[in-house]
Amino acid sequence: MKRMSDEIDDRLLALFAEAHENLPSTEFMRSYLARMERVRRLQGVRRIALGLVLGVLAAWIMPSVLTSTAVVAHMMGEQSRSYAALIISPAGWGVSMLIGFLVLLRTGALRRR
Amino acid sequence: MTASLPAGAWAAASEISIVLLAMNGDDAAYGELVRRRQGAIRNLLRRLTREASLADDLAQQTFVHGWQSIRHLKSPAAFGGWLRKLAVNFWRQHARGSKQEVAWDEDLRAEYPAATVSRQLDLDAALAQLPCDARLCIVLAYNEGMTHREISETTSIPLGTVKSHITRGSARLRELLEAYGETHVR
Repeated sequence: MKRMSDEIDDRLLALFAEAHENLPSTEFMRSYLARMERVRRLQGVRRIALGLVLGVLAAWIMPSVLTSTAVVAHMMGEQSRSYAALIISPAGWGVSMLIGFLVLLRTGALRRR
Repeated sequence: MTASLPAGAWAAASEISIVLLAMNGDDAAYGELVRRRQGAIRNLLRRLTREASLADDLAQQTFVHGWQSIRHLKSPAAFGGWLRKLAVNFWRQHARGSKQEVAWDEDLRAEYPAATVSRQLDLDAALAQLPCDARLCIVLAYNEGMTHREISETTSIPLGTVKSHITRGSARLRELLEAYGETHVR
């Protein structure tokens, strides 16, 4: 504990050391765990609510997203036949999934909490 | 994501390895960190608040917040300092809310209990007579063994102000304790 290089009063230092208590941890840990349980429950409820909001939002914007995606894909397909084939091929889906997974990994969305 | 240790292995594990597990979402590892650090954090907050139940409440808030944000910790070795900073921030937030700030020039005996119950109570009561920032600097210096520079970095109080708080605060503490019969500091 005594690693202070600054001016310090040894008598006060001794007084603080004497005041340091070995506090019993049982009751504290019990209330801490109960509090953690409440926080976890609240987080669960929050996640469900957020999931519902996102689901509703997704359902709401999905038709327009699909329409515009189809328009873009159609335009791209018109420009290049090979690119259109790549997009709808299993390899194209695989690469899209991989990119999505990397984005989730990078943002930390796959971690707990 | 978790690779928790068997129950008996916690005692032998180094804190850094436990912090690493906790950073990867291992709740049992974080529980072990709480068990190891609760005494230090509660003692620190008891010196700052003078009230055991409030200190324990703030300590629990600190540990819950720590659990929620430990994955943002930059280095496992910094865990102790990071946790202490969280505790200090929770106390400062509480102190700002309760608005019980003491000025340097207030009457020394204003709130002091007439009877000396114990040295620890004397010290806590005397600390309560100091302005919040001065009390914080004094507690971090004497209770936590931090240097003035470390205190300045932890609290964002300028170094010169930290030095001044410690010099004035120490003098004030001696004066208070002597005034109420604390023979150990004469």
